[in-house]
Amino acid sequence: MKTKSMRWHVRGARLLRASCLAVGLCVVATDAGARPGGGSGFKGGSRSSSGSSGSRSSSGSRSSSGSRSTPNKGSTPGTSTPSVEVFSYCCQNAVVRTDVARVWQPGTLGPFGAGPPRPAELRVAESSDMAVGATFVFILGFVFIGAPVVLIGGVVFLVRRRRGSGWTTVSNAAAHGAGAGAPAQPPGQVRRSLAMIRTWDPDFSVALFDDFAYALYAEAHTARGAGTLDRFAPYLSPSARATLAGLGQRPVSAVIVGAMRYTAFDPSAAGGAGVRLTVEFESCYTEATGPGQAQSYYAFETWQFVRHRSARSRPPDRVRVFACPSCGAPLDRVVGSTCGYCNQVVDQGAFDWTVESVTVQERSARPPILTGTTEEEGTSLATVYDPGVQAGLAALQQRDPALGQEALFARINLMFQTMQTAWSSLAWESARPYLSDNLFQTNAYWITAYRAQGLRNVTQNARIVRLEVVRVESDRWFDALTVRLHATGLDFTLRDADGAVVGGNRGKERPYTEYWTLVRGATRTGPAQGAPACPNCGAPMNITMAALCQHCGVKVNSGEFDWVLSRIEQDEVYGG
Amino acid sequence: MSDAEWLSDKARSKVRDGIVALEATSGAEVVATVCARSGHYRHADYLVGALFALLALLFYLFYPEPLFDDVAVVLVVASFAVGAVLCASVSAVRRLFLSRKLMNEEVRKAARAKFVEQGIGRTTGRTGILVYVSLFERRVEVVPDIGIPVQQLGKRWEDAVALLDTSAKKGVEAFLAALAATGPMLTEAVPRAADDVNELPDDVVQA
Repeated sequence: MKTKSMRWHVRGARLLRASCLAVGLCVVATDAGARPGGGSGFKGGSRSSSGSSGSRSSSGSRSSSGSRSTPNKGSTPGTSTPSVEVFSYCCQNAVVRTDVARVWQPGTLGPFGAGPPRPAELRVAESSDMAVGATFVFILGFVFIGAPVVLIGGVVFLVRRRRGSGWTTVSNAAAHGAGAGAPAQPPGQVRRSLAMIRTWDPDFSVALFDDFAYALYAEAHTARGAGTLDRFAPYLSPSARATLAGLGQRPVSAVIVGAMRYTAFDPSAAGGAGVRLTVEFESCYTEATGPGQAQSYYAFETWQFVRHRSARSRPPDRVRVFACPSCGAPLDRVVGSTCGYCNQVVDQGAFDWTVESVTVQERSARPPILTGTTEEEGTSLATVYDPGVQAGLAALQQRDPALGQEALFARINLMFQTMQTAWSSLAWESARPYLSDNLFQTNAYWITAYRAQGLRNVTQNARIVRLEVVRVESDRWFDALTVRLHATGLDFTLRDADGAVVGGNRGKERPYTEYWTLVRGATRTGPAQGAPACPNCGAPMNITMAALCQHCGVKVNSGEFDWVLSRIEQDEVYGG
Repeated sequence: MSDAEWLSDKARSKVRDGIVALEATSGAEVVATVCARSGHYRHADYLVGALFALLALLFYLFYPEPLFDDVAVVLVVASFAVGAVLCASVSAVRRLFLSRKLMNEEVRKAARAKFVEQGIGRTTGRTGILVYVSLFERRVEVVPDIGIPVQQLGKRWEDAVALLDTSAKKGVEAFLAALAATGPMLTEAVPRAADDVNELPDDVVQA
């Protein structure tokens, strides 16, 4: 009968052995077996031969290598002669130190002094048969429990693999394809390719085409509401007019283009005689539904513009004038497809852009969503540089040596700060001197929407962190410069009634980046103006509703006199 | 809830039909995605394996009769393997060793990742909705795009989402019923336009 203390002694020894074995899984055990006396661990040195050092056990100390059924605790000092064991140890260089190999017997001094006493006092040797039995049962139990578990695990794995990891009702390819309204070509690429129009039309300007398309869109919808679409026959094909007329004839007002994207450009349309440009519009407009009643609509439309290669672009002062594209006579003089004044067929795109088709992708009666928080996207995206930015910048500076980067950035900062103040205070008019008409109108819509819903989007402590010039483009009329603006600031939406925050975060700044395109008249030179003054006469900025300086009467946001902001594109959609 | 039921062709067909019916009256673009699990949770397997190994070690230490030392390591390692395999094979066991919070977080992350991967945010009206079913976690995560006026729908929407979430434990039929229940409010919030284009096709594909 073993005493309690003896049991704990044995348990301690087992735990030590198990720990050593666990360590041995990771680290090659080299010393345990070489321990003199073979004391507590691996019953002598010879057993450590299992792998790490072949030389260690080569002494054949345990000639009875099969005698693993006689572990220490199974040995019986006193009743049987202790086996003689030769101990050796390895140096770090794994060379057997034969000089220190000794023959050791219990009770004698070993080469390293007296060895630990053999655990003869434990008197466990008589249970060797029991050990075999217990171990056998243990292993058998494992075989009966563990093996089925592993087997079942394998089957489950195979079944799961066969079933697959899941399914979805839409394929990624479909989502990223044309079905999701994704552009066939990146917008930036399409914009760049428009430059080739200048090879046969030196007057072509993307900035001016922007103005033209915005204006035509607004005029077409207004005419649709008034039932006068036929007047626009030189600019709208019968098919386009039919589509627009199908939207209904109700007075349309407040047409605001929220976004305009170039999605495809075909420079060899109509057998190479013309060009075709596909443009997407996202817009909002209001229709009168009855006396004193109105309904706002959100619309998403795709327009296809065509033009002959022989056509020439209009000068900036006539880009928003819709008249006979051949002679400039009022549209009233156009009968059918022929101008009564110049007798030219004017609805085939021979003289100006004509809308070949209109596709209404979406039209829904819903107000804009102004509350909630939208996660900022694209801030961490790499900056998209135009390959020709350095050359374009050098050419611009050669033409205008006085154009200084510091002054330019100061003007951008002035625009930025003025816009933040104007936006937050819903006094958008104060930003007008720095924004093109289109950009001003687009954002004015949102200001109106915020007012209508009793909300206010506040940008606090907004500041520019960094500016990068990414693109420089010049045409006959304008120089266009695109910068990536890195900014940060608090951005939250307040409800005017009670001051509650209904969107954004009032306590955490929100870093973001945008691509800003600024334009200035191509003939204008000199440093940009970083102070709020008329770019023509230098008088304090005081403008009329039409953005005319009250002192000198020039239109300060035309870009003719200084850089004005023409386009803002979000980083996640900017394509270069 | 049986995973096999969810992954069967019958279930796929039923869910697709449910979505088609829902989109017939609403401008929302609903996408259902079913995933076996949202995280790998390997740490739970290792935990169970470690517990088994510990049990084996305790047995070795405290068993009153002597045992072979030689088999100790094998037993401990084998115990670890058996425990890990058992946990990996039996979802119920694995769930026992995972916190609900962790599983919810994994499902949320996976659902948002799918939302982006599948281009659901690229619809023109931003009216996509991802209904993400994670079988192991028995969760349904709904990710609406910004064109769905969730705040306007308020409590009704929250209840509908909660019902969908609960349905994950009950099976495909309950899920379909919960999905259909969102129809009226989606029709009200995002009515289907006459010229509505189904931008996210309702084909069933392997995830």
